[in-house]
Amino acid sequence: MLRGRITAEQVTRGTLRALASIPLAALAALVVILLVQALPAVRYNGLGFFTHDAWLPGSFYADPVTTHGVSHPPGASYGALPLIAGTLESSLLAMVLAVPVGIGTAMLVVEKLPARLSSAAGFFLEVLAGVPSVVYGLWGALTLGPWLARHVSPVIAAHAPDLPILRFFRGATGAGEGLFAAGVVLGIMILPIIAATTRDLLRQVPRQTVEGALALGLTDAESMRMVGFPWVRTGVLGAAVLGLGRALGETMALAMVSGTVLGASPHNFYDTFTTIAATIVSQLDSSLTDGTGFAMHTMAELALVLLAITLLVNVLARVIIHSVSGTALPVGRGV
Amino acid sequence: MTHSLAAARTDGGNSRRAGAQIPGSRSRHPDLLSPASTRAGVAAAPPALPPVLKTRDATMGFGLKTVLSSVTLEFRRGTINAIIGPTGCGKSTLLRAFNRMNDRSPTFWRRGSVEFEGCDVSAGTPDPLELRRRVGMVFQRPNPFPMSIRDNVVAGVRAHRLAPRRELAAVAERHLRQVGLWDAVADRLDDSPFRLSGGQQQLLCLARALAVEPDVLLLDEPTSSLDPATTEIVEALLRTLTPRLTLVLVTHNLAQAGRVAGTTAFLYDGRLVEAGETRQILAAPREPETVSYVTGRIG
Repeated sequence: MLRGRITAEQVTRGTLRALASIPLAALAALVVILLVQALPAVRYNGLGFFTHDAWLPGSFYADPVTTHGVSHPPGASYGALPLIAGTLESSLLAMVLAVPVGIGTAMLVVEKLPARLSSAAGFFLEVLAGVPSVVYGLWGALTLGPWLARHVSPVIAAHAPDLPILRFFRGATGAGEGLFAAGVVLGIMILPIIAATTRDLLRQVPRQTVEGALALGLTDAESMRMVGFPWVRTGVLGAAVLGLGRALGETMALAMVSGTVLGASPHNFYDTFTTIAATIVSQLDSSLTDGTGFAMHTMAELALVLLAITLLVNVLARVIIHSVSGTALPVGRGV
Repeated sequence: MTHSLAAARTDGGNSRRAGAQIPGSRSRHPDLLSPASTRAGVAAAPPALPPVLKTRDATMGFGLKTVLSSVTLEFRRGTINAIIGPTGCGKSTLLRAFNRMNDRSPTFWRRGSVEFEGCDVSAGTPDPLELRRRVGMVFQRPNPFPMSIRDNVVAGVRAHRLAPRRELAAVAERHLRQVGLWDAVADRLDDSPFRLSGGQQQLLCLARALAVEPDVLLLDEPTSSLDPATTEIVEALLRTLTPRLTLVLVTHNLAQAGRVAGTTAFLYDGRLVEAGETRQILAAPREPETVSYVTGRIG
């Protein structure tokens, strides 16, 4: 009887351990396969992959050439600099737009709206978070992009001063596909993530602490700024990283709104560009037609770079959160 | 229904206010809420000041629920006053009426008057922010803000712009000394308050409440989460705050009321059952419900 129970206990424990290790195994397998697939591309492309703009698959119909033991079409030369830059730039723009708006929305929902309106706003945030990215992409390409190009971009372009860096905001404003439109679409996509997470965090601030601030004669806004928000600061940083992760990896919407221009960096804020994820999805078909398989190896290398950037962002966020939580804030410490 | 607390005052200065509004007053117990003058004899009492806090026929509640019925009470300047009663009797609601914290709830309603220095607290003078500065509050559990210890003390000073920036450090030191916390935290003013012990956190919250120079301090069971030794420290500190401040102390702890409060009001089931000098309430209560409560049969 006892023996039976012990065996059952061991079986349960073993099963749970096996189940718990699945995510780890999946990640390990993913990284190994990507590494193996990317290795020929890493050897042939070299460091130049990160430093130049060209995107030349070479001639798929000519006889393959072998360099450093890697078989590839003649004339193949890949540079991912514009892709990496485009990924970072569009995500940065999305963050600049979505973080303040998301935090503001969350504060409004928690502090100012009556309960019923607040729960309705929460519902819409969740719906917004669940809209498929292809829908955002289509809307961005057909409606938002052209509207921005017609009404917003010219205003910014006309008023941006002719100074280094700010010069980037001047010049031709395009037809709607490009960095600016992509950043705005991305921002709208990650807004609900940041707003909903921040809202949930703010609701965790103990009532007595907020009341303590109000009882001291602070206004609602002051109490939110001095007490409520600092209480959840690290958690909000985590929410922002969550949003950044989504922005960095977002594929479909960017493939539709960016203009997917390969082989060149954007000339200004409104120019067409592309990102790593959008390039992988838009180049997959033609890469499969490379008989040497080298184009696919390059796709794997791109995927590896994207994975590395995302991991780096997460690690960085954890380091920042760890250093901030040195003041021992009670909630929202994790990512 | 209305139980008088403030009773009929024999001193002339106050009868102007007291006379009309206190039904059922007990003239044989003059000046129940001024222990000092009782001790000294009515004749030697200082010219009676109008009460700092006062409710008249105050009935209040949330939504359909009536929490307090017809409470008439007053608290004299510079005194320590306890409000006792079992859980759910309306002590906290009464306390929170004085600094309008109940108004945070959209379903809160009130009839009758609740006055601070002769003006109804809802009249708008002083405005709610200034009212809450002058009528401070300390809560049941320590509730430090997520900022450094020093910033905690001066959070209210900053918000109300009571002192220029360069004086904030001095203000913080003064009030940390006042609550006896300075020696413990002097070398870690920039640290988080959450590493302090519960008692130290509560003292910090007291320092924060005192730093905005209030006239009244409302204390909602301020020692219920503290150990006996720390409780003693807090009680000793409370005694030092009078007569500059007027304290209203909600407590579960009858012995605490006996140790610190000059007057005590007993609430039961939303009614003010009895109020008067603490010694009398605890040793010789007149109402049967008070007797039951102080002897431990109810509550």
